[in-house]
Amino acid sequence: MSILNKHPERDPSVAEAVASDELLVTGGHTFTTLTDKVSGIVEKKTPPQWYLLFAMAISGLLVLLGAIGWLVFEGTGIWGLNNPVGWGWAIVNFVFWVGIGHAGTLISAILFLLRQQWRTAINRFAEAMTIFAVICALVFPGIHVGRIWLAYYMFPIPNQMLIWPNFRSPLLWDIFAVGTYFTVSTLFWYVGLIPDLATLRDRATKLRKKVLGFFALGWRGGNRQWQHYEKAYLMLAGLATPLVLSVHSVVATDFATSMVPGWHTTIFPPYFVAGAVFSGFGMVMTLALIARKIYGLEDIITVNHLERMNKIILVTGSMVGYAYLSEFFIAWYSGNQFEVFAFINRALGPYAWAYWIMFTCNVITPQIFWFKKVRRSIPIMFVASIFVNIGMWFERFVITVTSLSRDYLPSSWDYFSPSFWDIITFVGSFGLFFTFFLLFLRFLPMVALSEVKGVLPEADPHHYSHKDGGAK
Amino acid sequence: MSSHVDETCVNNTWHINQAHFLESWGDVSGYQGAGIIQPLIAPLFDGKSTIDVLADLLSEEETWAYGEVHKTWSDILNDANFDKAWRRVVHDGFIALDRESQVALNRSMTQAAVSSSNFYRPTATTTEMEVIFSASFSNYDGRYANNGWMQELPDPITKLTWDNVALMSVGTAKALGVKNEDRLKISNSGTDLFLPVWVLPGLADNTITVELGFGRDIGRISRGVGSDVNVIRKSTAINIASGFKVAKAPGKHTLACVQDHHGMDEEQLAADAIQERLPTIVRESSLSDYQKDPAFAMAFAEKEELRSLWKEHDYSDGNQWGMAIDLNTCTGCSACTIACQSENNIPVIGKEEVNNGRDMSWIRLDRYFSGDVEDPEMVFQPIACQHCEMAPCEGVCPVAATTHSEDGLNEMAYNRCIGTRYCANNCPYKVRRFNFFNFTKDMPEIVQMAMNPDVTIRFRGVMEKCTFCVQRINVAKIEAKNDSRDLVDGDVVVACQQACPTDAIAFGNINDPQSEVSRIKAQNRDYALLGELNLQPRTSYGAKLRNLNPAIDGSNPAIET
Repeated sequence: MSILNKHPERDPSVAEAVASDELLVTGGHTFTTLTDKVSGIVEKKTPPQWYLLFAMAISGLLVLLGAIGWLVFEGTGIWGLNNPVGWGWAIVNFVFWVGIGHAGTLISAILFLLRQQWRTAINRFAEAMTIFAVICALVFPGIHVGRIWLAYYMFPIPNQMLIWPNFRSPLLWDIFAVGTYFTVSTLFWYVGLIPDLATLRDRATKLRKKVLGFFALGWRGGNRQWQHYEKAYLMLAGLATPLVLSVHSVVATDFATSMVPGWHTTIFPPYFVAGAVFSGFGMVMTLALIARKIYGLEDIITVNHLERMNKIILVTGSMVGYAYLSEFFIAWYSGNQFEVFAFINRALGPYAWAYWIMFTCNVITPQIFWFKKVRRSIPIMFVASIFVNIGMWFERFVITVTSLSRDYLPSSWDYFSPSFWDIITFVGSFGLFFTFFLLFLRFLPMVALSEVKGVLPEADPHHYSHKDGGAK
Repeated sequence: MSSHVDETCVNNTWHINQAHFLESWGDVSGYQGAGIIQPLIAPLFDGKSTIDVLADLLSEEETWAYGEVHKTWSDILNDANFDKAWRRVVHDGFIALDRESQVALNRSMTQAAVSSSNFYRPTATTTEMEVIFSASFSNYDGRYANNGWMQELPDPITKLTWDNVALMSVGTAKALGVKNEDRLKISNSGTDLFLPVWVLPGLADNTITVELGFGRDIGRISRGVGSDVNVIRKSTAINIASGFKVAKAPGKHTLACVQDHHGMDEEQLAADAIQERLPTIVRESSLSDYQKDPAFAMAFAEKEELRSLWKEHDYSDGNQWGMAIDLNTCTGCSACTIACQSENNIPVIGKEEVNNGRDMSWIRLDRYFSGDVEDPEMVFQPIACQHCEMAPCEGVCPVAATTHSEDGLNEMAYNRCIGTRYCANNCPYKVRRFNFFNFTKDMPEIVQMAMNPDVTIRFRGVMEKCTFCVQRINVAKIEAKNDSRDLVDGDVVVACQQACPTDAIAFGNINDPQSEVSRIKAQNRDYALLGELNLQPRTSYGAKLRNLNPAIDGSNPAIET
């Protein structure tokens, strides 16, 4: 690993660095203590909080399965959809979960390529979060169709009807975009896991050793293995990077290519990506704060890491706010009465409450991170990170529902209200997410051990002799 | 004796099961002639016709409707070769008879009747309100109440289904402090009637209009729908009665309205937007203005030529189906909606689902008010699938379930549809209808027999919409092919067009400049709804012209009213 840090004892600038909190791992950890700390989480007794949370998550999952069962049995009518509003919470939830699934790969791929070493503390579980969020996302397009048992028509499978899917439809692009993103993210996550799985294997016995050994793919940590591994990781990072940007751009085209006023805007792809990163970091923040508390990872996920994430939340949140304002400007500038009305209706119409929840959470909340004290205050950032995700859910709701509820012909206008089933399906999707996430915390190393070790001073014993010309 | 067990039947000792008039022989007589009714089917429920019963009572020997009709016609035809004449009249179904000439209209009598002093002058006040009893638009006096089509047919003006309401003016609602869906208590000498409120622009103040035909006790469909208003109706004041105490009652009553749901346009933002859009959606003018500016309907068209982003399909060959709807002649009667429902097996979904905004009508009538809320103008606009040449629904379907045919129809392949509903979202006319549930699940067997065998029954999860009666087009094509000829104008008559009493709907081949639809589309009143979107809809509308009597519109004060 070429990512290095300065040696605390030999370099005078280290004292300065410690003072300014730039050290990536605090608490005087060595390779051994780190291994013990992280591996211990999955090897030692599971904390009771885990069982409580897992019981809640499984209950949520069962609720989701029940809601889906009733949906298949009875029909899409159990949701609150109506004639102008053909897409409701299912699509809102889909976009919401896909958005959350952005942070992981952004942290692991883009920040990796940009040599942002602070990513190592959070990348593993951010990636896991990505995968589970994308799984949650993929549930919704599958179940929201009227005839779920025929959803496979969307896949380009050769068939006796000699008919292909319609490659002009953005829904089909979605299948490819989200499918590819899911595959590459999973692969990337797994490749990153291999050295750590080997570490766990070496500490395990009996069946655990065998299972971990199988998934560690015979990793021995040799020089050649590291060489190949790092090349593979770099290539996967290169592959994943455009996908981070493409997947939500494609999801945005579901709306942008349509002709519904309020959907038909070219700003959507970049605006959706910014929003996705924003919500993804919000979610990583929420989860990181809980996990670090329960598992005592304050030395690895330091306040410095959290502060940097807050900066990203501030930047992307401001981008989202800019997009909101520019939408209004463009609507006015277009001179198109339908477009103008769509936006005035959002802010002042029957869904104004949703619009202002969105605006407050997404535009005003992140602005508090201009202050360093706030950026480093854990209670404030915890609340803010939850606000961010509430706001981002409402953003998708506002875009999807308000635009559809009032489009061209006023005779068809109608108001959408969610049904009981809409609500529990959404709540249940959190059950699915947390079931996966808690299993991950229980059985896999939640911190990328090998990478964190790479940013320890010990990983670069010769750095002092290279001065600043050394590899960074 | 009746075909249904109704409220009268249950109070009788005896009831004879009456056959439908098309289940038995019979005959009819009119001014121009007489005709024979042939049974179309053996009585489904073993019913007896009135002729059967009367003949049985009056005659000693056993006789049936056929024998009686036969006997009657031997007198009418009075032909030596009766058998031949009988067969002819059975074949034709009709015979012209020479009747006495019609009674001349007595003009002096009508003129005397139409004198302004004879008109009722309102004396109602807020404390002594007037109640007008009007027949229901679709149920009439209740005789059609047990028909789902009728219950679900929106009233053309209120757009309400499955209920009767207390209609009142905006001013009266304000005076009573009530809003739409509030419950209202109407009392008259100790009897109370509770009805939900519906505010309608343009009504007279201090007058409540209530509809007959609801609140029946019997019937699979009609039981419990609406309230019976006869409880406050007296034989001495059967149509208009006065002296009612009217007050707000506690509680709410949900109404299923297909437009401006729950009176949404009470909100100023929406009301303003509707008035802003209305002149382009429904283009109208007065006759005098039209004479000055005959091309006014085009005034809203884009100045620059609209261009497509991609190469458009060439539709210059063969039959290209199109429709023209004249807003000038449309009266809003809604016969097209029922004709379409009958032709295309459109399900009845019930009040709750209508209230959920899932009404299934393929052709709907949009109703807009404009102008002063106390004295508004009103227009109707029938809207079905516009069969856009550049249909926005087609590109977004991921499974290509909706595509374009060579003859310009926007087609739905139900078997291919998986129900993403993206097409409906992307339709600016919002004409696509989704089967949110299996709406035909509990359809009685007898109703199944009434379905049109040429049209598929749609399962839940499938999108549907107007097909331009593709089944009728195909029948006409097959018949033309069997006769080795080309289709000619008038071969295809679509259901809505057929039912329209004012011939407001024209349908045919727009490639043929001589076809009726082409000639109507060539008029200067013709415009495409939302034409600026460049979707090139195959349906176009004829702008509305008003030619108000100056005595009514107040522009000529010289005429005494």
